[in-house]
Amino acid sequence: MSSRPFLYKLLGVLFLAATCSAAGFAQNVKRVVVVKVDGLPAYYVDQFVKQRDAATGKSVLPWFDEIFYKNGSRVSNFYTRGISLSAPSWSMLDTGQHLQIKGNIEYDRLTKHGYDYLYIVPYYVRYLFKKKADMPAVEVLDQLSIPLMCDAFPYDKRYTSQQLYQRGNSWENLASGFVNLYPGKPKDFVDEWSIGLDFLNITINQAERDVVDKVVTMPELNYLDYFTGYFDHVSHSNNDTASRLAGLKALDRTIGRMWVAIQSSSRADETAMVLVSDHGFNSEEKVYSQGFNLVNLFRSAAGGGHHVVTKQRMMSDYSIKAIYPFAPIVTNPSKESYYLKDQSGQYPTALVDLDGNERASIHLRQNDLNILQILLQQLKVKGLLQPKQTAAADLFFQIVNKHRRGWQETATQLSEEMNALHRSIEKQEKIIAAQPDKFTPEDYAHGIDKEARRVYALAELAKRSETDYRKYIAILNNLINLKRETFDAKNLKIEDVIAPEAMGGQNSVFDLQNYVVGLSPNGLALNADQKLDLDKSFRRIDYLDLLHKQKVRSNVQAEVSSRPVDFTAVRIPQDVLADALPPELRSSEDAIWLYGGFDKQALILTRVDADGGQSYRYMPISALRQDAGGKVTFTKQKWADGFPLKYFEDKDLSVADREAWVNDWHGEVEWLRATHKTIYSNAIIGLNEQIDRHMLPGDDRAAISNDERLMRRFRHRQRDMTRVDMLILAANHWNFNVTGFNPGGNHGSYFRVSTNSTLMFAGGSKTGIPRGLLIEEPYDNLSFMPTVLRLMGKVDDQGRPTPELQERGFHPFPGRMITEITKTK
Amino acid sequence: MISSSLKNQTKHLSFTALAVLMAVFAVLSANVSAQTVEEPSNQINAESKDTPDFRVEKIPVAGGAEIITIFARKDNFGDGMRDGAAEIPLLSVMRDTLGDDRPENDRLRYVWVHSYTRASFWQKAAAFVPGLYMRTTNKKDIGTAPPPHVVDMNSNHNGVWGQVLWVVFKKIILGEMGVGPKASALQYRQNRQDYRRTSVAKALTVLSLFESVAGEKLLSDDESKDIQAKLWLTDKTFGAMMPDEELNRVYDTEIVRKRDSRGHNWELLRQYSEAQGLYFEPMEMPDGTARHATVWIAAEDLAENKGRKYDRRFLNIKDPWNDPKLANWKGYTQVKWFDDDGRVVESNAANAKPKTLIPLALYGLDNPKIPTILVDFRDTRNAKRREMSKRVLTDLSNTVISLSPFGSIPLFLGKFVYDLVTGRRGIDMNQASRIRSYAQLKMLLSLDATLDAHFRDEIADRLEKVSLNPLENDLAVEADIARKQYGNLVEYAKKSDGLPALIDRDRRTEMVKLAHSKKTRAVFTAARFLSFGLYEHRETTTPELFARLDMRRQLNYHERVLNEIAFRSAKPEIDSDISALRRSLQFVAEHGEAANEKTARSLSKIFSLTDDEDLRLKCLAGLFRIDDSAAKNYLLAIYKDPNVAERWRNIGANYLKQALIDGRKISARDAAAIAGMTGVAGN
Repeated sequence: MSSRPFLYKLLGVLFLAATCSAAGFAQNVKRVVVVKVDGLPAYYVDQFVKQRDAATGKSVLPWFDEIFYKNGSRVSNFYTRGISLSAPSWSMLDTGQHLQIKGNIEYDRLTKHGYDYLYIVPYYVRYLFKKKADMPAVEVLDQLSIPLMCDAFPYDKRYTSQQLYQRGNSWENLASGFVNLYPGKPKDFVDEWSIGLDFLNITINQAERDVVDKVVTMPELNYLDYFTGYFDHVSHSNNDTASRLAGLKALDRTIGRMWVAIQSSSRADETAMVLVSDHGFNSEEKVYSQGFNLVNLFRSAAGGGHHVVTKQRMMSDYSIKAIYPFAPIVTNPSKESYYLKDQSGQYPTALVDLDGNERASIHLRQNDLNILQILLQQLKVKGLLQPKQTAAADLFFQIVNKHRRGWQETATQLSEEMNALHRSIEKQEKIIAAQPDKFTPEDYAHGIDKEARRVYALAELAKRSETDYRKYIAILNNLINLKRETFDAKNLKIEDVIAPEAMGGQNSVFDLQNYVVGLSPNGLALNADQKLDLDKSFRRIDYLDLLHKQKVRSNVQAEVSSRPVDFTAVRIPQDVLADALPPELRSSEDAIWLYGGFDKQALILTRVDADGGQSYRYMPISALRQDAGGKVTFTKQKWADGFPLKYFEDKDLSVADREAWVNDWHGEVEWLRATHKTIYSNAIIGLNEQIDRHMLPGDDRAAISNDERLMRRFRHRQRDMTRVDMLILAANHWNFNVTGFNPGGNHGSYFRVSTNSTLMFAGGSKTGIPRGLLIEEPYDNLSFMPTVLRLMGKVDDQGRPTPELQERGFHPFPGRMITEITKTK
Repeated sequence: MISSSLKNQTKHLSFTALAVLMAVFAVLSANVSAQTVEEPSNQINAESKDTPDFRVEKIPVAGGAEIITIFARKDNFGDGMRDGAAEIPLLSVMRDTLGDDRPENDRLRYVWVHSYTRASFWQKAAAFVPGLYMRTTNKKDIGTAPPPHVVDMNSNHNGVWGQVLWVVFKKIILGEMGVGPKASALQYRQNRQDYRRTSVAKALTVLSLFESVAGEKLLSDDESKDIQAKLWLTDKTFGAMMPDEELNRVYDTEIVRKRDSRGHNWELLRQYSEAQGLYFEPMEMPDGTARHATVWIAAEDLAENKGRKYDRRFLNIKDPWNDPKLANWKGYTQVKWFDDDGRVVESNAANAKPKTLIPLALYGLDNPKIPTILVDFRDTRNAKRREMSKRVLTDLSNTVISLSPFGSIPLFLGKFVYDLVTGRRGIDMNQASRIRSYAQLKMLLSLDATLDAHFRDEIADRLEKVSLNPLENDLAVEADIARKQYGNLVEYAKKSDGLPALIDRDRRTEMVKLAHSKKTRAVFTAARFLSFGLYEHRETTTPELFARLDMRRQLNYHERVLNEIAFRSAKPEIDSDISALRRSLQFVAEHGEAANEKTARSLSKIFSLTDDEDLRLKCLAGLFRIDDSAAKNYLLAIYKDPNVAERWRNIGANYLKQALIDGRKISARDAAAIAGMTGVAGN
């Protein structure tokens, strides 16, 4: 057996160690307490920190003032990348890597599997029965080999609270939370009862007690985190200052108690407290956020009569069935479906993710699958005239042949991947079989029991994936294997060739502009040459136009537009767009098309620069169309008011010559600096982060086995299958919530109010964290993790992890370090 | 035979007892005492603060109190005041100041809503009639009696004891009386409670509107919040027992809850109206908040939408698109102009298109879960049926069926399922909060100058028909009642045997706690309980007791400050009003003998939170001063805590030893520990 690989590894580790030591790892912070606050905008905190309390003469938020304003550093222009939504945003904050999780729920287009990242109650139940170790989002990241921030610390050196990216669970937290609802005296309990027992915040309140206690009593802990979603919850419901300020004051007291506890601990000098939020909030006093029901639109005849899959039941707050928490996804049938009436269970044709509510991600079934299914239905109809039968069958095979190569490749590759997955499952099963029935206290203390459970949970997920994908492959193969000469539609079961519950591949721009939702009222129509007339045979919808034209009848708020949709974003593959662009604008990266009406559109072009960074260009256009042959055309427009993102008319666009500036390529930092104060802040970067496909950390690793390569390809495919057809952005003060109502406010868009989030640092005397420092340079949430780890000496100033972290699976971090903090001694 | 005879005897006794009790209640309701302390002046020197919407007036009351009254001003509310008078007195609050300028010993006491009055004989008689779910007559003669208060801010236990007494009375006496008398008594009690609830809702509405007014006020925002919290707590079983230091939390919690409901209902109604092709219009109160909304239909849309499918869920009105009544609508309409964006604009605006709007229904938005229909313009009985649904069910189960859900498992399960389904689905057949919405709507009708007068009359007329309560008066006379009652209150305040006497009596009740031990007070309470409230022990005022009352009130004030800070502070130097804290600690250290265990706990906590030497010293001094064994126990805990610096432990030890010498209250166990204390250097 050759010792070379080992030697290479050793040399590599030594080289990195030398590099790191030369770079001088800042190792001032030895312990960190991370306060994670969902949906806390920096501008909102700032407003109240600066407001004086008439009674005390102090800040209305005295602890924010004391800890972070007077004795710490704060980044006033901190933004979320991607959409301003919890699961995606926390994924970047918790991993420091580019966006892989792009919604609070994602759907697999091939299997309809719903990745519900907020699937909390079922998680607890499955954890109770030892079927799960981690929250769903963590499982996905584990599959992608992307570690969390807490993974940088050994199990027995960390304390983590309940959160979206929760690794492992502590019953102690929940149980103690319940016990602590009783304040200790019967009279006090009666008072609490009369005020209303705070069940909603049981775990949050307990996590606070735990952190306050453990920073003092467990000095061996190097990482503690605390998560609260209370402010976000209140802000969705209430837009009034009194309600939201009450939530902020409660948070202020919490950080005060934690800070006092840290200061009284033996490690106060070397402890940092970091407060971070995932996104901002679009909430304005006196303006209610208005909901627009996209699900009903897609279910309506005008919207295509889709059976629509959502995460939760519509109006679930008012539904008896919604009490059942174990249904990850729900199909909302349409009574107005043109060709799939009463087939909602088998053939939903739209998958909709509305979370965050200022945006919606939409998957529509691949347009050609609709045509195939309609043609099969027609071919089964008795009495269809022979010329139409022939023409329909011809068209059917014309479409199959168009896709045959691609489908064949998918089927073959997926089969290879399933075989590799199967082998991986077998390995995991051996590990599971070798696990002890019982664990020792020592094992529990080191989280060995959870590791074992994790292997089991991932194996179960893999088994389900294998079953689902193999089912899809089988049906896809049936379709591929159909031959014109032996084709007998009447004896064919549609579900044997058109995979139920599958959306197929993504739709092109042409598909979205000419989406077939049913047979035309006059049925199939023939051309003079006895071929099917595609225009006359089918009902079609231009979804971009349909969404843009949505309007409400009654508009009672002056601040709210009557049009709920701001714009729609669609990815256009670079090869599709290349011919339509002048050579100097062609790129190896996909473009993003923003549709704000026929004459108000824009393209966001992306290119990779020589230094590996990305540059973007914004191009105002109109009338973009794609023809059936795939050719894209559009008219370039002069920059003016009213184009998507509205940078032109935004007084806060920070550039000297607007027109010249926008007609050029600019790097990410340039864009961020120029636009972050505008209404749409970092939307150019955010849209790219959300819609672009990102490499997985470690993709460049050369020495991997064939099975590893196949598994990596499979994980890429799984992520690809969650890519949506359209990202719909709501107009200001509009939302797409359908489960209940969010009149207080929402997030999810690229409005600055929704992307501007909070990031603040403070620390003991040895941490070197500057005091009273206001950092106005804009940063985004990719900067958070490398900066914290840099403060702890766990990465170098280039964001490269230490050997210890590399051993734990960490990869270099792509985000900019917040050097104003890390460079200070 | 024997059993029948016994039953008859019991019945006879029960009726006698009922008669006696009714007489007792009648006497108690005329709760005016003739005892006085000093002769008040008939001159009233009113102080007044004007804001755009309100005028606030403060008038002094002899014996050291003042009445603060909030008036709605005509200037702003315009023709909302239908009788053309300049202003309406809405609400008065009595602040007992003990006759000095020291705010620490002030007590907010009674809250009057001036439209809330004692029922007339015929109103009372009607209120006793089972199944009479309607208003009968107005109170015509207000007389000269002072108005009844809606809440006594200083009452801690009366509500609970009242409920206990009621349950006992219901079980022991009413249970034996047969369906008729029982139904009557229950009907009356429910009507009375609902009538009071409407007044509480009105008071809350006035105060929340008043809170939105900026500038100097005679009733501070903190006081207003306390009153609102107390008013909210009137609906809670143990609400009256809520300590003052929790009132801020009650207020914060409730305000979040209420505004949450309001926003949800606003949006629910807007979306469902839009979905059904109707027009939603929020109705704003003077503070800019919408607590009601009207749903309209455009006459122009009727023809083209004939046959349109209609979903009545949440709107709870019948299909308007296929209603022949609307095609020939003779009722109220409004023409409004809409621009291309669906906004209401002036008739001369560009592209303005007129639409003739017909009102369909008016909803209250301040209810949990769903908006509550208050007026159905096509079917007045619709709202009434919904209003009655809960009442009828409750009344039937309490009287005819005579079943308690706790006594029957099937009934319990049935009720559970019914409540779950209606609650979860948001079926508005079950809204206890409807009463509040009615009260608010009445306020809106009184105050909103922007409402078209005809439309207001339409609403008011229908609203009166919906009312279930014979004790209610209609909107047309309420302003007059309010004015007369306010006049009576002012007169009552002037009379030596009026409000000053009541204040004196209340103070003498308050003094009982100062003059007697817990055991003796328990005897007094038992006597009061057994005499159905006829006997209530009061002290005779002496200068010494008066001074102690003053001190006691100040102590209460400072205890509240300390308890609030201890609850919410992480470090008082950073997050609290340090001078207020210092003052309160100083007071307890000097005069805190009677402070309670909770205050001792707060001192102990503040001691652990603060690094300020002076504050810490005061905490220890306070713990020494409080004559309660728990205080010494906390002091002992500080002494025993190895993490506390020796200096503080020494001070604590000295206090403990001194307490032992002084014979202060110390548990036997702690006394033994103190006696055996060693190793601590004396100061």
